[in-house]
Amino acid sequence: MALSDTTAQNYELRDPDVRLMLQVRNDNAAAFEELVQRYQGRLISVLEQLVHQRDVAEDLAQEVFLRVFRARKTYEPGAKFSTWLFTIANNVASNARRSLARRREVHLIPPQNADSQATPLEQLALEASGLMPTRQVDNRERAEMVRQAVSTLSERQKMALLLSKFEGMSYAEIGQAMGASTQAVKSLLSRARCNLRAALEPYMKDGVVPECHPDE
Amino acid sequence: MSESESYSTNDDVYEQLVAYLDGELDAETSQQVERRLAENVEYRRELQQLQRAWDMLDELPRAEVSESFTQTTVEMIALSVAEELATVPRRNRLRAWSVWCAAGIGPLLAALVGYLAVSSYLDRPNAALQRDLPVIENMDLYEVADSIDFLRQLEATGLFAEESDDAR
Repeated sequence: MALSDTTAQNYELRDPDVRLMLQVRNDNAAAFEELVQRYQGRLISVLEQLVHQRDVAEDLAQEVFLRVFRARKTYEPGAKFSTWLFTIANNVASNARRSLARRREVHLIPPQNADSQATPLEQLALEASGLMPTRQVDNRERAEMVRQAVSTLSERQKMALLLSKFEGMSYAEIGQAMGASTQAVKSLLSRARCNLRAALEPYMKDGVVPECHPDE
Repeated sequence: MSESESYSTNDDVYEQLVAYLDGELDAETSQQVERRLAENVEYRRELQQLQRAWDMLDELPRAEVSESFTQTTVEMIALSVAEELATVPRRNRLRAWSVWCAAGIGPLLAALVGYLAVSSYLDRPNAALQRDLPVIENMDLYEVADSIDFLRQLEATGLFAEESDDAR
C-alpha cells in the first residue's frame, strides 16, 4: 500500500532517526554510521535475549543493518524508524531461530544442570530461600534468574515483551513490527507477563528482590 | 464483589490489568479498573505482582557494544556495496545494449512499415492505370464504335484476335 505524503512527512518531522534514514537513502554514509551507533546496543540486547548467544546476536544485528542499507533506496517513512528496524530484526531473528533449530548448533533454551533436579531458575530461587543458607543474591545472579524466567516464554511472547519493555513500543507499534493485530499483541503481552510473573514468583515471594521502583 | 469471592484470573482480567499497566486502556475502562483496584485486595495484589515482575526485567544486562563493532559493521556494509557496484556495470552494459538495440531497430522497423504503407497507397492508382492501359491506348478506335456490344461481336468473330491479344 502506498504511503500518503502526509504520513511520510509526519514521521519525517517527528522522528530524527527517520530523517537520518532519509539521508542514508541519499547515500549518506555518515548518517548510516550514526544510525548503527544509535541502535546497535538496543538491537543486540533484544537479539541476545532471543538467541542466548552474544556472538550470534552480533551477527544477526549486522544482518539487520545490512538489510536496512540494502533497502535504503525504497525506504519510505511509514512508521517510526525503530519500528521499521525491529520489524526487520523480528524477521531476521525468526529466520535465524528456524535455521539454528534445524542445525541444532545452538541450545535456544540453555541445558539444565544434570546434577540437579531443579531448573537453574528454581535452583537460584532455592538458594535465595530459607532452604539453603540464606544470603543475598548478587546482581549477576539476579540478572541470570530474570534471564532464565524470560527464556521460559515463547519466542513471540519474548519479542513482544522486549519491544514493550526496552523499546517502549505501543501495542500498535509492536503489532506492526511483528505482523500482528493490536488485539493479538494485547493477548500476547498479557500471557507473557503472567508467565513471567509465575516464573519469578518463588523468587519474589522470598522477599530477596528489591522493592520495585515506583517511578518505573 | 466480596473479598471471599475470589475473582477468576481469566485471560480477560489479566489482559485488562496488563493493558492498564501499559497505558493502553481508554479513560473509561481505566476508571473501571481503578475502581476495582480500590475495592478488591486480590485484584490489587495481582497488579502489584505483575508490576514487580515487570520491574525485574531491569535486571537484564544491556549490551555494551565496542567501537570495533560499529567499525566492523560499517566495513561489512561498505564491502557489500563494493560488490554491488561491481555487478552494476555488467547489468548496465546489458541494459545499454538492449536500449541501443531498441533505439536502432525501432526506427528501421518504423521506416520499413512506413515505406510499405506509402508504397501500397501509391500503388493503388498505378494499378488502375495499368489495368486500363489497353483501353487508353486504343481510345481513338473505341470512340469510332457506337457501342460496346458491337465491339464484343467483332471480337467474337476473331477478326481482330491479334490486336486483341496485343491489347491485353
